[in-house]
Amino acid sequence: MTFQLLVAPALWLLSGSAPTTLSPHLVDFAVIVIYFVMVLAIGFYLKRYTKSGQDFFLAGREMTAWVAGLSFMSANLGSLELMGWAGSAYEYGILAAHWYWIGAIPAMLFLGVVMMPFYYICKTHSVPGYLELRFDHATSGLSGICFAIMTILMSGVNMFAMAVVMKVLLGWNIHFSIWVSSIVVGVYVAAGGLFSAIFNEVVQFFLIWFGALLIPIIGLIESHGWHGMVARIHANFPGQDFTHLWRGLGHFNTNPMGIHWTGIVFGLGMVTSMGYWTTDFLVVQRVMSAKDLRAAKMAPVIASFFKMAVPFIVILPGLLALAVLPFHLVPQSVAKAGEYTYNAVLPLMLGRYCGPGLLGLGITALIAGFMAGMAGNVSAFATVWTYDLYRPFMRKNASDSHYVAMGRWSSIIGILISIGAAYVAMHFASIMDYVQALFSFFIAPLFGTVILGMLWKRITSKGAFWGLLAGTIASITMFLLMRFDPRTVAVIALSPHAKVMAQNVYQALWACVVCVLVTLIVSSLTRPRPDQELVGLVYGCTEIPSEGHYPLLKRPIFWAGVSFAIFLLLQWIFW
Amino acid sequence: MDSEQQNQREGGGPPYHVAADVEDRPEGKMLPVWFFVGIIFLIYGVIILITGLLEIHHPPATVMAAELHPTIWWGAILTALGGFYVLYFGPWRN
Repeated sequence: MTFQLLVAPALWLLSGSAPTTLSPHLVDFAVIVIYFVMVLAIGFYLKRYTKSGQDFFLAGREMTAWVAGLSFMSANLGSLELMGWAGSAYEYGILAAHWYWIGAIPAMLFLGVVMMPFYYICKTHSVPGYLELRFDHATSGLSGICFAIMTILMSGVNMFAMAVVMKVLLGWNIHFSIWVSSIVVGVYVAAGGLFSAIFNEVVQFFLIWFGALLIPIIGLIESHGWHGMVARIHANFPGQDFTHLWRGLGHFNTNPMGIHWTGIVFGLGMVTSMGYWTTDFLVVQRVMSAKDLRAAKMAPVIASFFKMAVPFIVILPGLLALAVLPFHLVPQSVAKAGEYTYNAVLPLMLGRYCGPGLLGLGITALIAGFMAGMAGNVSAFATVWTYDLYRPFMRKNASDSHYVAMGRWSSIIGILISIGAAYVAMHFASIMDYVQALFSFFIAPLFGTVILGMLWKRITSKGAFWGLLAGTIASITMFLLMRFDPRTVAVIALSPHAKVMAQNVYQALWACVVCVLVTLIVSSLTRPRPDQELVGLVYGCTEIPSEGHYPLLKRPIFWAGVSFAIFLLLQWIFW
Repeated sequence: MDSEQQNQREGGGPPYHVAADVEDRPEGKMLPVWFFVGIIFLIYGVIILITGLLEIHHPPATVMAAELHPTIWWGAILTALGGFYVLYFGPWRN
C-alpha cells in the first residue's frame, strides 16, 4: 500500500547522501516539457465541459468501465510507491509482491462485486457521504475531517518528494519543482475537476507503463531470463531466499521481512488492503464516476488485472538489481556519502538501460506518478470539503454553481496548503511519520465501520461513531507504544523480529478488531434505525438492481472470477 | 454505446447522455481520452525514434544493452501505437 512506503523513500531523499543518479540530455528535457504542456492542454480543453457539480466532482458520472478502471489504478500508482516498492523488492525480495497481490486483488474484487452497488445506488458523492446517509453527521464529519487533513498532507508530501527526486536525479532547484508541479496540478484540477484529473490519470497510466516497462524487458535479456536472474541472485546473496512468496513465512525469522503468514493473510489481506481499496475515497471516487452500475462494478475488476501486472515494472526491477548491479545497496539508516540506498533502485536501473529519449520517458513516468497522486488527493479533498464539510456544516442550501465554485477554490486552496505542507516536510522529517500515521490510523478502523454498516442493519449510528473513534485511538496508541517502547513490538506484532512493515499490518489488524468490537457492543445497547430508512444503504434492506442483460463475457462477476483464478495461479507459481 | 442505454442509467440515478469516454454534450462533442493518449505517444514515439536513428552507429556507451537499440524499437512501438490511437479516436472519427 502507498502509505507504508511513503516514509522510507522520502527519508532517503531527505538524507541527501545519495549522489545525483541520472544524466539527462536535451531531448529528455524536451520530453518532460511536452508532458507538462499536454496535461495543461487537457485541463483547459475539459474546462468547458465542466459546468455542474456532477461534472466537477464526479466527472459527470459518464466514465466507461475502462476509463474509470485505469484512473482508479493510476491514482494508486504514485511515484513514491513505484520507487519505494522497487526498493522494498531489493530489501525483501518477492515478498514485496504480496502488497500487489493478496494486498490488493481480493479487496479490489470485493469492492467491485459486493460494495460498489451500495456506493453507487445511494448516489453518494463520497465515502464520508455514504456514512452520513447510513449513520449521521457525527460519523460522517469525523471521517470527513480526518480524510481532508490526510489528503492534503499526502498531497504536500507527494509534492515535496517529487521536488527532491528532481533535485537528486536531475539537479533541479527544489523550489522551482514544488511551485511548477503544484501550479500545473492546481490549474488542471481547478479547470476541469474530476474530469480533468481522470483524463490525465489515464494518460499518466500509459506513460508510467511505457516509461518503466523497458527496465524489466532489457533486464531479463541481460540476466538470461528468470532462471538466470535467480541464479545470479543466489550467487550474489548466498543463503538468502528472495524469490519465494510463501515458503519462508512459516516463522517470523525465516524471511527478510520478519513476518508470519498470518500477518500477510489477516493483517494485510483482510484489513489493511480492504480498508485502503474499499474505503479510501481517493481511489473509490474514480469508480463512482462510472456511467452505470455495470461499469462501476467492472472498473475495479479491470483494474485488478493491471494491478496484478504492476510487479513486473516495480518488483522485478528490484529483483533484477539484486542480480545485475555490481555493488550492493544499503539501508538508508547506514548510508554514507556516495553510497546508494535501496530506494535508488528504480533510478539506477533507469540509468542503466535507458539512453537519451528513453531516459526522458522514464523520468516523465515518475513525474506522471507524482502528479497523478497529487491530483488524486486534491480532487478528493475538494469533493469531501465541499460536500461533506462545507455543505452540511456551513452552507446547506446554496446553488449547484456555488458548490462548483467552492470546488474550484478548494482545489486551489488545497494546493496552497499542500505547498505549505511540502515546506514543513522539508524542515521536519518527522512529518513523514505523522502522515503515514494519519493514514494507517484512519483507514483500518474506517473499513470496520463501513463494512459493518453496509452488511448489517443492526449497526447503529452511535455504535459506528464510537467504534470508529475507538479504533483510531487504539491504532494511535499502538503506534506510539511501538515507537517509544520497542518491547511492545513483540506483543502487538507477535514477534520481536517484526520490521516496520510487519508492525504496520498487525497494528491495522488490531485497530480494526477494536473498531468492530466497540461498534458491536455499543450497537447492541442502542436502538437501530428502522429498515425502511436503510433501503439502498444496507445489504438485506436493498434489492440490488440488475446490471442489465449481458452475455457472460460482459458480466463483472465472470471477470472477477478470472482475475481471482490468475491471482491464485500467481501464488502457486511463485510459492 | 448501446442505444437502449442512451437515456437510462442501470440501477437508477439520473439519465446520462454520453458514451463515457467521449461524445455529444451541449458544449459539443468531447474528444475521447484515448485520443490524448495517442497524441502524446505519437509525439514521444517520433522524438525517441529519431533520437535512436541518430545514434544508431554510436549508441551511448554508458547504457547496458545499447547494441539492441531499444531506443529505435521502443520509439517505433510508441509511434505505431500513438498513430493508431490518433487515427482511430481523432475528431475526424464519425
